Amino acid sequence: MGLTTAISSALSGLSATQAGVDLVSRNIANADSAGYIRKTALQEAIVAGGAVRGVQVSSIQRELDTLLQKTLQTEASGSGYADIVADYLGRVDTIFGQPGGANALDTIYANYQSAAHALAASPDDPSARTTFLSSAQTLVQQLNSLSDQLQSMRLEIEQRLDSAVSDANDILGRLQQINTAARSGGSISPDLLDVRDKLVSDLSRLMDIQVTTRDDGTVSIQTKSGIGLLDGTAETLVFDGVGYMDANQQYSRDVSERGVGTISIRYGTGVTVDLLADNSIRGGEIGGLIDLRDDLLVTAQNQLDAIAAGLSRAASDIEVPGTEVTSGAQEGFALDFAGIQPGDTITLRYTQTPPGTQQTVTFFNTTNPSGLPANGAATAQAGDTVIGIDFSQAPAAIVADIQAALGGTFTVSNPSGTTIQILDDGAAGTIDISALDGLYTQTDNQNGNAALSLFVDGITGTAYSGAYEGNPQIQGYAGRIQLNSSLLSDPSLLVKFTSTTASGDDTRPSQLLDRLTGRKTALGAVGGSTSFVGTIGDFIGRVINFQAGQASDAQTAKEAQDIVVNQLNERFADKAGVDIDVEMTLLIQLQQAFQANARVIQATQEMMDALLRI
Amino acid sequence: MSSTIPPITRSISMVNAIMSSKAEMTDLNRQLGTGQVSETYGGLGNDRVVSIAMRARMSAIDGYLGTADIIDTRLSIVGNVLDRMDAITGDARSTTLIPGYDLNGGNQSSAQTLTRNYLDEFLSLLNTDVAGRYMFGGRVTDEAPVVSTQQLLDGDGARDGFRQIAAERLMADQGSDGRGRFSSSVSANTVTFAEDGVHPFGFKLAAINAIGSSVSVTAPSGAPATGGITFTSVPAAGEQINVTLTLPDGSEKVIKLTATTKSPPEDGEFTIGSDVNSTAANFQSSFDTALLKAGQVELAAASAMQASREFFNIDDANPPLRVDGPPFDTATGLVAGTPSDTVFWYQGDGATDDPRLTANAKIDDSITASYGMRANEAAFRNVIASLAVFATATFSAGDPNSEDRYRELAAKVTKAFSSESGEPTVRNVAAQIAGVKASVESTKERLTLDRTVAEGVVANIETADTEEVAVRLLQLQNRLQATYQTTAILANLTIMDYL
Repeated sequence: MGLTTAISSALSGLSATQAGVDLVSRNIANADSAGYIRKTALQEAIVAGGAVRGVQVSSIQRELDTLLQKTLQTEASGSGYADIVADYLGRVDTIFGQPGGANALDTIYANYQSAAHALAASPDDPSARTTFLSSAQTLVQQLNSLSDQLQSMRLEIEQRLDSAVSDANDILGRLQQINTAARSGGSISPDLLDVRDKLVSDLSRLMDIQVTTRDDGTVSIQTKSGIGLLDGTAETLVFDGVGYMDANQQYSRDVSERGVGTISIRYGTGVTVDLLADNSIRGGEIGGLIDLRDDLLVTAQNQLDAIAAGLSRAASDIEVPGTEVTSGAQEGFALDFAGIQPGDTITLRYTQTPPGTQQTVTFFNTTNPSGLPANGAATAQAGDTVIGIDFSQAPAAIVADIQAALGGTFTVSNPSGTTIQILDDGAAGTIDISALDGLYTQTDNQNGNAALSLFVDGITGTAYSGAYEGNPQIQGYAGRIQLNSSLLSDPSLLVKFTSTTASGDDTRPSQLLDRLTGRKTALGAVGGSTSFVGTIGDFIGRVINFQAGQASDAQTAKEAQDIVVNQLNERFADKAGVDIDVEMTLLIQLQQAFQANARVIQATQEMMDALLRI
Repeated sequence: MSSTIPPITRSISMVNAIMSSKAEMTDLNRQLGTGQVSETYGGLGNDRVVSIAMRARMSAIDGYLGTADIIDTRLSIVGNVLDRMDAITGDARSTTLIPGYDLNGGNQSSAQTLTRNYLDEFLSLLNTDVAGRYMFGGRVTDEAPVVSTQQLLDGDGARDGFRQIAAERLMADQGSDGRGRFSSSVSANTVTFAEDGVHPFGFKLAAINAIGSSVSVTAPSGAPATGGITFTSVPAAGEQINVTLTLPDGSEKVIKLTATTKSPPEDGEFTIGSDVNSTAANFQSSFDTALLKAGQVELAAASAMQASREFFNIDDANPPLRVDGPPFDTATGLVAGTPSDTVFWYQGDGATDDPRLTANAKIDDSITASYGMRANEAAFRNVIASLAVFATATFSAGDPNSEDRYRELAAKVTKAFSSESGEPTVRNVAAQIAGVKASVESTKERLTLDRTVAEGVVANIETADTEEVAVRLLQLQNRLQATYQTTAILANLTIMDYL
């Protein structure tokens, strides 16, 4: 042991404390930097020849709880999802209007119904007619506007998806650079790790991912479904967004039917994988945007469409009951199908014995029977068997199609003209037909039927009949529903169902009012698989309630998620964050250590001097 | 949890707490300002289901109440109108019950002038409109249902009014000789009665009865009908022969002749001759005198009643009927009047269904008030027709049969004003309408009550309670102030100050 050893020890102490001060200064400087993790220096004794020769900084340690970090990343994707969904559903809730406000959909509908009351009470009153038409106009404009707003939200989402995907690509690119740096250097600096972790956390917020960290500091990233996004090199996500959106544009795995953008990876080999096809992205902001665009907002649109269709049909439905016929022991009904429109239906009800159950078969007029959805979704009615029949064929062919669909226990025939007749099996008694009713759509306002063609589809002015030729007519109908312009030019058509109907005849307005206030029909599903049966007013209330409920649930979910993330963040900040007070205390300690080491050197120096003076 | 507590200014939960408190304060402030708990249905929480349902109920009630108010106004006005119509009918009945035959140099009595005034008023009541809606035209509500009295009675240009139609009918009924298209002739001991043809006009031979044993009766038969009596022996005084004639309005006139020894006989008698042949001749002569008188009195009155029936009882299926002529006195049929040659007094809805069902108002989910009326329904039509008949008949002081015709006509008209005919009266209609009005009013009362309840429920859910909000605001303010102060103190508490 000699004085020189003491000096070198003190010197090593000085340099170790300098390194410590350096670290403290960096910690303090980055106290508020996002993603910065507090570093501490680990000191250890320098041992040479079995004796301590000084001190050195062995490593810079990141004060990090990796489990907490992983949890935080997972929750970040949940938070990204909840935020975006709550944001958009909140907007959907808002567009339905303030409770009781003049712009609330239910208020506008209530005004329309009141105007129908007034029209039925004073059919001859020109102002009652105009008020009714303008209230109907306001109602369809509101539906158009709601539909437009939903679709512009979907378009906005399309654009946000575009920028979110480009953000994700940016992050993946930078992570790839860090991976490269780590691999070439053999290791990775703690500061770079901070940057890497911040990037991973940002990416988690965008989408739900699985992250694997390797010993050399590189990371590989996969979607939850296991599709690799980064492993050495980053894949590029491609989003082929559209610049225009309407209700008919929906996601489909079939490229030719897909009307909206999808996120895909194009591999070097030329193979393209559609990430949405197998639900690879379920969380994060992108997952939320996709759920909104392809599910939540589509549901809202479907509900508006069902409202629009219900309104149209309440006015324009022509109900034609069949007439009872018998032939020997066979009993059944005959029905004239003249005037049937595409999408109009004829309903057959019968009891099957055994087991004595009531069966409902709906014949749906379409030129393309095989194009109907297989699950009977072509009609809002639940529990019926829907059979597509092309009523534009010759009667003999129609009869043959119906016969083929019903089977041999029924006898289907065409006694004359456009009449079809369906008879049961007579004495055998296994079936008993109870009704054969037509439900047709009014197209001519002066054909003597009280049904009113009040609303039409689009500016072309075709009747709404729920046709199923290609795109279902109901899809996006809320955006296209218009007031029949012939009524605007001649409001007397609201009353005159023939050219000679008296001006004060309330037959037509009363029928409309009865249907608005009393007729309960299957209108469509709201938050369940079965169709809602009730009046249109009830249905509108149900839809508003559903959307409001969804919005408030999303808000609650977001708040719950926020609490979780905040708590995690706080815990993370406890561990990894910089506390100025702690750093300042550490600085004092370092200062004292530096002074002590310097004092050692000074003392050694004095001792050397004393020695030399001898 | 680590043992260290992060500096308060950097605690995320602290920052969040402060932010959410501030957001809550803004929301409470908005609640105070707008009085509304929330700006969206979502913000109402689970109560929104009730709120939406109650609002729907309220707007449904508003729709019904709006209708009920309109109907109530209409029914009130119509109720008064019907009451007045009923009063007119009563007055008219009193007027025609025992009318004075005071021609005063003119051709109509003062009772008739009064009747004409009643007709004017009755017709104008039928043209009552409530805010532009005519109440007595069935489904036709935008034009007056009945024409003016002037048009109705005197026609309009080429279109004939009731006076002309009745005059033509009278000619057709009376025939050129005034015997009502009927004749009697004598041959030896037989008197024969004969109609002049198959047509709806004049006397129709219905029955012949003889009380006594001197006469054999040939019952009426054939078309046109003929019949007769044959004196088989000279009758004793007091024997009676009745010839029953049907009049155009369906009533009957019995010409009753009693055998007498007086010569000349008095009215209603015939002189017994020396043998059957001269008795037959005497009978025929007395019958002819009686026939001529009946033609001026009973037939003329019945003709006017029937003409009014044919003129006034119209609807889509039944146009007014008039005599197919000229010539009228030999006419053999009726023809439908057309809008170019005949005044159609009723311009409203001519359907034949229940008049009440021509105006319906839904005043609750399952209550419909039906309150339509048509001026041509029997209750109104019968009154107008009778008033018109009595108001248009003219009399002459010089005509010996005139006063009898006046009494006969007054009696027929009086009968039509009362409910004896079995047809509905104005009073029946008034009672029906009053019933509808009572139902509308009780429905209104119930709906108003329902609405108040619904309104209360909605207010409970949607309206912010000012006191509660103010108290919460105050609490929040205190809490925020305390938090700010503590935060400020803690934020200043740093080790750097003590180095």
